[in-house]
Amino acid sequence: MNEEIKLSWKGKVEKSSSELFVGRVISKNFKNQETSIVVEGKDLKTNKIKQFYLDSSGREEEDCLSNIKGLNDIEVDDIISVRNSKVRSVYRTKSSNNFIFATIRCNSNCLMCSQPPLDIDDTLENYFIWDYAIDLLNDSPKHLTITGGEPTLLGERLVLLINKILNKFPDLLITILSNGRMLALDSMINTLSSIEVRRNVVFAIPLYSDVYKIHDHIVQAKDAFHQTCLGIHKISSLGFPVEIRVVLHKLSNPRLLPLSKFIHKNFPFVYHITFMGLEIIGYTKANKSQLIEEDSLMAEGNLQSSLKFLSSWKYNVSIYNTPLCHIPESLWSYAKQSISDWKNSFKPECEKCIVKKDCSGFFTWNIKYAEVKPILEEK
Amino acid sequence: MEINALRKEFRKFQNLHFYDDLNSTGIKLLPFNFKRLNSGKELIISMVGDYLIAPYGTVEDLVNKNTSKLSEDLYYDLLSNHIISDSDNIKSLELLANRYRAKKTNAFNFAQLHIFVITLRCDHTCQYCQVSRVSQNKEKFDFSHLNLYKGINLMLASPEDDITMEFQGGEALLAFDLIKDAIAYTKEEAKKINKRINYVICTNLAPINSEILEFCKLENVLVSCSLDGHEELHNENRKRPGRNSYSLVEKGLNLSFEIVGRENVSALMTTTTLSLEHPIKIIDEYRKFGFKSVFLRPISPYGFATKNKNSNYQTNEFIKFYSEGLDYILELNRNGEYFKETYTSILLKKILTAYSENYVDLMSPSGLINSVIVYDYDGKIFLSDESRMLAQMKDFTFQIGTVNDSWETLLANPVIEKIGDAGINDCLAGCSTCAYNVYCGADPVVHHATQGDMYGFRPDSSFCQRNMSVLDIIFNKIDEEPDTLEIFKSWVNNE
Ligand code: SF4
Ligand code: SF4
Repeated sequence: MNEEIKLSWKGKVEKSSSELFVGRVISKNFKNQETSIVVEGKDLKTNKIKQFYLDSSGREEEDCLSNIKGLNDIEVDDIISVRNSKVRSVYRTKSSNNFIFATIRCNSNCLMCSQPPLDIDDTLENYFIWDYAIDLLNDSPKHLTITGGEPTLLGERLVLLINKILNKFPDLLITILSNGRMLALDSMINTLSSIEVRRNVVFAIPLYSDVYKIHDHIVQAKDAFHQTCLGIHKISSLGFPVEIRVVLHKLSNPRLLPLSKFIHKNFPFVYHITFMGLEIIGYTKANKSQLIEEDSLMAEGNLQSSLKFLSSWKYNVSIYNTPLCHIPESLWSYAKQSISDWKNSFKPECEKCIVKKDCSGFFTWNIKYAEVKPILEEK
Repeated sequence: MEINALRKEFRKFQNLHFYDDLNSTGIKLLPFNFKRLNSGKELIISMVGDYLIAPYGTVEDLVNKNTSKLSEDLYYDLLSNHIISDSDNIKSLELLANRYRAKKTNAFNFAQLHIFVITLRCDHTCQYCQVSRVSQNKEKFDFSHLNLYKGINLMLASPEDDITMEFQGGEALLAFDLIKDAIAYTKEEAKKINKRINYVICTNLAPINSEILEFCKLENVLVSCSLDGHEELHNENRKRPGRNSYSLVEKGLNLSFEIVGRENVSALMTTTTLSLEHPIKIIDEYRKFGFKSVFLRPISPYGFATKNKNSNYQTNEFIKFYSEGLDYILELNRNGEYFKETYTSILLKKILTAYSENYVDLMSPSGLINSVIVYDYDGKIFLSDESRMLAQMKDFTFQIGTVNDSWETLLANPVIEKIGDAGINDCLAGCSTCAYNVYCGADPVVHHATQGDMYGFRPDSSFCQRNMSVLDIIFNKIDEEPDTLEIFKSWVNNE
């Protein structure tokens, strides 16, 4: 059973003069049960290059955060940011699931949001962090996800970051997790049209229903459905590949097949359609009674007929975030191991399951609600 | 559309009702057409071609805004298929505009198919053809080099970058040397301006030989031949001295398969009165040669054809023939053999996908000018192959000029404005309210030829009768036979 990997830490500030520091971990030492880490980078306010120390002990020193728990998850060559007493992992060199966290703001407020938005303007700060982090990257990540909040709220700055990183690593694949609403605006489309290399930048846009009000209700925003649908057309006509993501829950399950038909008729150009399991974290916990499906037989049937419909039209379809024992065997070939390493867990019973190596397992935070039916022998 | 970029009232969730756009004035009807199916159910088709099969009485309930009578799922289906809207201002308008544009892409194109009637000479004297009476007088009935090059220059000066150049006859291969010169010239000129040209030779295969086929292979020329059916029928339809048309086709096809490869060879049939009795034999003939499709094509109701007893049959006879053929083909598919009927497949692509198909007879705006253009052997330029046949009966309505003209002059011909008007079925009497108009086409030439009026009169138009019947057959199958729908899909997917 994996433990959740930490991506942010809190420490005690001693005499730090940095308001915002970004750097690369150059050494990590473990002595007398204490971890100390040296980071080399830049104070983004003063533009001064310096070293910064992170320590699990009570070490008191200039440019040092002390008393930090869980430093183990930081590795040499990782990129981290420090702001006041808070440390954030910006880039994990060894991971294949790196992401640019664009902003915590969002213009929607989905009932099942795993990372509930806040009305704080952090866009400039996040931009500065990544603008410098890109300078620090030595090797190209295979793939990078841009997430939030709603990344398009970064506007022009999003384009600057994307152009900068694609300039440095032209083969990099980028997935932008956007609700697609801003893409209905010509001004936004204009801004995004200055992204030079488009075929490697995928917009992954969620669509939860073919009926406007059901989608609007799920994302808690009026007219979101029409904006997202139009946004999908507009962004695709710029030449960006589009993926449509459907989260499976009690509100989306009943019209899964009509939604698939709607996608086929209105967005036949999409390059990938993914059906995703629900994450029981964030808002989902508060809205469980509305979201957790009781009629699993209906849900399973609808998923099956939707996949059958879409694959009969040759769409590339996947199921994400859903353990194999939760779907019929006929759908296993669509199921992908999609949960990022830092939030992926299995149950103890999974150890005896013969398909574990192909299974996505669970979000760490779902594990306490999870039930498993280990597959014991070859059928 | 305004987008509220940031909401402040986080963590206060609204219920479904809050997002409902419906107000006291009730639902709004978007443009749709409808028709009753054999089962009594109602076929409702949106302006962009999304169809819905709904229970009896649905349309009446919609018109009366009696939405309480509709089940929730049906109500949602109507919204999602762009048949009704809840809000007063149609919020999906821009999306619908994009969809409509995708269905009508051909309206933005210029002719991609340029047909050159390279010679009028022929070695056959087919039942349904008049050009075949022409002797072997080269001077008189072949394209002159001068006219040919002028025609090619015009073709290359037209706006499309991907062009198909098709050589027809008479029997095109009787002028094989001329074809060679045409291709050599086109290749060189096209290279200078970066255009891609595909070549097709239409032939009855009688003159084919390995030298010709080696040339086709070298230059990537597709071979399109005539195959009307089994030996007896084919020879009866396609008369030639020695009554050996069929065995020449057989020999020619096998040689073509061998040299240019199956994928570069296709066959077309024409339905005569004699064919009407033999849909199954005709299809089997196509299977025998390893073809994976057949195009059950009615005869063009004009030109020499109309005067011949074997070409004069009623549309309902053709529909019976088509329908028997289609049933047989579907049975083949049910038994695991992939085989498709081409006309059905063209319609199915329009019915089952967001896209359209550039088939000249089934386009609105009609495919004249924006899909096809014809250069006749004597340098005249026609809007379609059928227009050329009319000219053989001294009706030059659809001749827009000659190879000596520029496009500016050719396109200024007044007939172009007329076909513009008469070629859009959304505003033709009869078609504008027809359930099928998104899938069907408009054919000013056929209506002019058969009814003396480009706009045409639908109640006794054979064009309308045929398309209406074919579409009825298709939709009743979709309604009643779920496994047929799966076969239809495989045809559209081409596998
Ligand atoms: S038992 Fe565990 S490993 Fe096996 S399918 Fe279920 S979740 Fe996956
Ligand atoms: S020609 Fe006939 S079938 Fe076609 S759209 Fe017009 S009325 Fe309908």
